[in-house]
Amino acid sequence: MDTNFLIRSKAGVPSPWVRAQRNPKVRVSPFLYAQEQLYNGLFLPEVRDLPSKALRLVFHTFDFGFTDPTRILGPYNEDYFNIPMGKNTLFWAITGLSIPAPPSTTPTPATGNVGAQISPALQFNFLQGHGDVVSQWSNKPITDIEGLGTAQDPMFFRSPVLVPTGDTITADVQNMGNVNLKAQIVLHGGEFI
Amino acid sequence: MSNGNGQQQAPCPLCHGTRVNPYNTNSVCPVCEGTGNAYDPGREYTYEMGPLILNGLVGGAATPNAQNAVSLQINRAPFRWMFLLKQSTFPFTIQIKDGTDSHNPFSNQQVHSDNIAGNGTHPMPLLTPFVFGKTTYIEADFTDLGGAQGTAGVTNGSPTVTLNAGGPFNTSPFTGAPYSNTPMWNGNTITIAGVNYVISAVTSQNQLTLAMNYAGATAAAAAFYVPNNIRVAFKGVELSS
Repeated sequence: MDTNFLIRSKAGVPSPWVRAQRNPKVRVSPFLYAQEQLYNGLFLPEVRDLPSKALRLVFHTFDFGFTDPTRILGPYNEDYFNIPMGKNTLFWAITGLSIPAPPSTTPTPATGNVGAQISPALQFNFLQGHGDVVSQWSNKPITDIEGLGTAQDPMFFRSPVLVPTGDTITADVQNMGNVNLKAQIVLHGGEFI
Repeated sequence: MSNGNGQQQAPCPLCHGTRVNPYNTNSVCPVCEGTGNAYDPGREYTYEMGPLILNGLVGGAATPNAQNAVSLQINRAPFRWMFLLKQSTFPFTIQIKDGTDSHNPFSNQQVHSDNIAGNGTHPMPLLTPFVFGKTTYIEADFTDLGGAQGTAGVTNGSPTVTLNAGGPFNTSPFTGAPYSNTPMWNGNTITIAGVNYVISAVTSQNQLTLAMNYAGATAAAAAFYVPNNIRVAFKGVELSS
């Protein structure tokens, strides 16, 4: 990496965000290299030339119970949260969390208690509606342990997900526990200005 | 090319200031992204918002459960926001806005702090940084998720505190399965009648036990506060223009 923070793209292919170019030399933000050092290649999106000027930072939040208590997930219940995309949006990370909503139903969730289900807390899938077509981001719901990071340990997508204007992203979340559950999933990305 | 301060900036090493991709003139230069200037790595800088105390007692006055339009001014130079860090007693939700006249938010609603902010050892990097202009503001709305205030019954010489009104006492653990049975309040501070005590254990939403016997006068409705002290840091670089 030279002093202008230019490197050859990892895949050695032209950037998809601009038209084909003969010299795939792209700028990579250097702060990412402090994260995992030599292992950054395993965590960074495969196409790392994410533009920083054409995209406006956005956090699309799928909330179940934190903001609206009526959306708390009951034991083993499933719910949906829709967000329509007002602009072309590029998602590069996903985080999520959950917490039992007091008062918890009995029995108290603890190892060994009858009916207790501690982990995973929830399973989820994303549905992307494009016109009359609805596609899933995974073939079946995946658990929070497999699919969600946190802000301290984010789950970076290997290839950023481009969702065009007009599409609707629906988070389909099911509570896997025998307690009332608050949950929140956030897609981190940027809207094209 | 000169910046707003009259300083000369180096031209982009790929397009040499033309702002156009030299290999495909139908697109902007991918290195400078159409600015014509060399990439500005900036100077490391951090803006901290806070400390903010929710559900607490400050200067003898109670603070609310939520506070909106907390702002800080970008007063030195344009600021490229690259990390979000936090330190707080309990979780909270936050909605960050760009502080312009339109107060454009970065999220559709308030976001849980564990979903958006890291810490010094595990920062949350923003792969699409946002540049705040000089003299603009960063604005945020906060809602406490952990603390509480109200009145409680206390007895001199007894460690038991019984809820009278307000609250309730928070029995929730910190987020993330597998859920422990340890409420997040255990080991934290409660202010009762203006005196700080340590909570030993929260036994229910109506009762908790202090780490020591209550030393004040017996009262049926003593004011209590379990505050959430919040600091949020916007880390990034200052730009030259």
